[in-house]
Amino acid sequence: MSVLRLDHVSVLYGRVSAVSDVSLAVDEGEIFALVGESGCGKTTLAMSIMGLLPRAAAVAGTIEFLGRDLTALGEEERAALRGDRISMVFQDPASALDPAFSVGEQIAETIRAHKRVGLREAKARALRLLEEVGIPDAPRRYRDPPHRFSGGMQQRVVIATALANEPALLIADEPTAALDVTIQAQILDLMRELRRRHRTTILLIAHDFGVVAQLCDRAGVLYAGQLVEVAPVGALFAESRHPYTAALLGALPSAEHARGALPAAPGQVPDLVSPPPGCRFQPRCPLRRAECDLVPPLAPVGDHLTACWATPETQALGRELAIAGGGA
Amino acid sequence: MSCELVSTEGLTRDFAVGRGLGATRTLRAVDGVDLEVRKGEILGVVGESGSGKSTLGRLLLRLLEPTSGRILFDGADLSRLDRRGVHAFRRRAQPIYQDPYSSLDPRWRVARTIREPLDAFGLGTAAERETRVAELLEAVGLSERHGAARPHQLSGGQRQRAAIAAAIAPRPDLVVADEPVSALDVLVQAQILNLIASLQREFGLTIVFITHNLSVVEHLADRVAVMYLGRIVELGRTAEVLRDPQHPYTRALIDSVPHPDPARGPDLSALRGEIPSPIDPPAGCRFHTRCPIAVDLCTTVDPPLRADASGRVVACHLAQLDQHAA
Repeated sequence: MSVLRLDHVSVLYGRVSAVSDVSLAVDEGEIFALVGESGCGKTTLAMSIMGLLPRAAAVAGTIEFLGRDLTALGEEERAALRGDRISMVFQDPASALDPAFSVGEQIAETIRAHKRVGLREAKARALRLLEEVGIPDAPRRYRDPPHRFSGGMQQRVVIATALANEPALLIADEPTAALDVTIQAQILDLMRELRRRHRTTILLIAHDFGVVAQLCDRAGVLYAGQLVEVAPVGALFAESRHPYTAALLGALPSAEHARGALPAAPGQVPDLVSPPPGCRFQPRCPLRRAECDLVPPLAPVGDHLTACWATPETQALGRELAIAGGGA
Repeated sequence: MSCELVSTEGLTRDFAVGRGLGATRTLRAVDGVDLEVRKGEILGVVGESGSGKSTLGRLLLRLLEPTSGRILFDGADLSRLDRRGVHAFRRRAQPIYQDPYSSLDPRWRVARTIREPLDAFGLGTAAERETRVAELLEAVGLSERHGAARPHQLSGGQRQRAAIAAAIAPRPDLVVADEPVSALDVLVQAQILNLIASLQREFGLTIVFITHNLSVVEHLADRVAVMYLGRIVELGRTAEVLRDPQHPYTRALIDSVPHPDPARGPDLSALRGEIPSPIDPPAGCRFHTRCPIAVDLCTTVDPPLRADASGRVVACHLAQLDQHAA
């Protein structure tokens, strides 16, 4: 069963096409990654699910969460979901925590904001959460303000807060990007452990393919607002089907390439005020062809879904859709 | 031997850290570092927050004065240079930063920023400087149009290219690059790494490349120095250090990097605990509080840097160094 289902979601900030026609489903209990470079639309998608986009943003399409279309809900209903059924972990833990309250109080407060429980019960639950996310000496640290914790420990507190009401969906936006690598390894371990214990569905926003490979079940690759490929991580890393995914993976620095000879795709990310027609990767693509001026549909190719006219499956699906469209 | 461009001896830098009202404590950011940077090499310096790698970079550029110890640049003691000597050194050693705005004036057109060091050091005639700016733009893959733009009109990658052009404009011998690709996306990062490698080759630059990213070091650096709490704990040829680390911290750092290949399995977090505060570092080996193999000796006695026959140096009591290897 899908916890989250996006259907033809597009987001416009004025004339900027930040997300274009994205459809995907995240299953219960899975960790699904949205990966891509800056400006690819991954954070915009996360914010559209949270209902935290600026007013100027125009969202088209439907965002179904446990069968309800979130885009049809009023602001009050959406606010009731946030921190309760859907919660979020951000990159910078310091800005996610209130410096004026102890870490324990913040978690207890999050519980009481959504659940009719007494202070004692909320406190007890907050303490259990601090212990669960690995805060050493949790009963004593309960009363400490956030600044008394290191970045890694703050992120554990943020994760505890996000899990406080046992959300059906946790959105984690680059949760380890600001941490040192040895601390990142600990947080990734914690997230794996929490998923194993609670079967929490997690949507991870990431740019680091290492994190995606080590934490996630499936991944969707975004380029300039378009979803170009979706696949189980094993299949994605073993054999990327979309030329953009291949370009990204191929450009990771390693000793396999001679110094100065990293295969860096030429050119740069397009301006989203006037993106290229059709596939937005086409100006940089080694497989570019005439059809690329039309948006390719996401077609199943083995374990993958790939939106690329250079694959026979996408061409076949394109012909089918054209026929269906012609008959309508 | 005159193969080193820079060497440091016991290089140490303290900072006073305010703590409450009036009371200050000392943070020893760089602690007795002996380091040689060889002419024409790319030396990677890796470490986590608080390792002192950026402070080391600023000391090498003489942007900070050492608290003790000294730096020899081409044989001359940096702290004993006269005004002319400092001026000459400023031309010969240039920085590249993570944020290109650190070296690009937001009000100036890019071409003016690139030209500025040529003017400041009086390099060439006015006409020659114009030609040189055009050459530099081309060398870093920018056009005249980019030269006429202001920094905010460029993409992140283009800004870093412009900052690199400004850094190499006065034909420096040494470039200290502090996380120059860390803010860049993968494809832009690959372009900039290729650019740095080609410029290094073309101009015979010596580069100290400071980063937290081991993959970048693996790809780019001839040798790598691993820092922990102000000290170098291991140094050697990059391929050898990464393939066969001798210091447990180096090993932990390598094991902590999530590999972009799910078949390599999740790397269990290699290290318990957190980096101790550099204000109050542990006694003995500074790494012993997190070290998986520490013994009693490590809690009391600071391990000296020892070299093996191949030139690898390691500061660990338990490292088995082959003193006789070829």
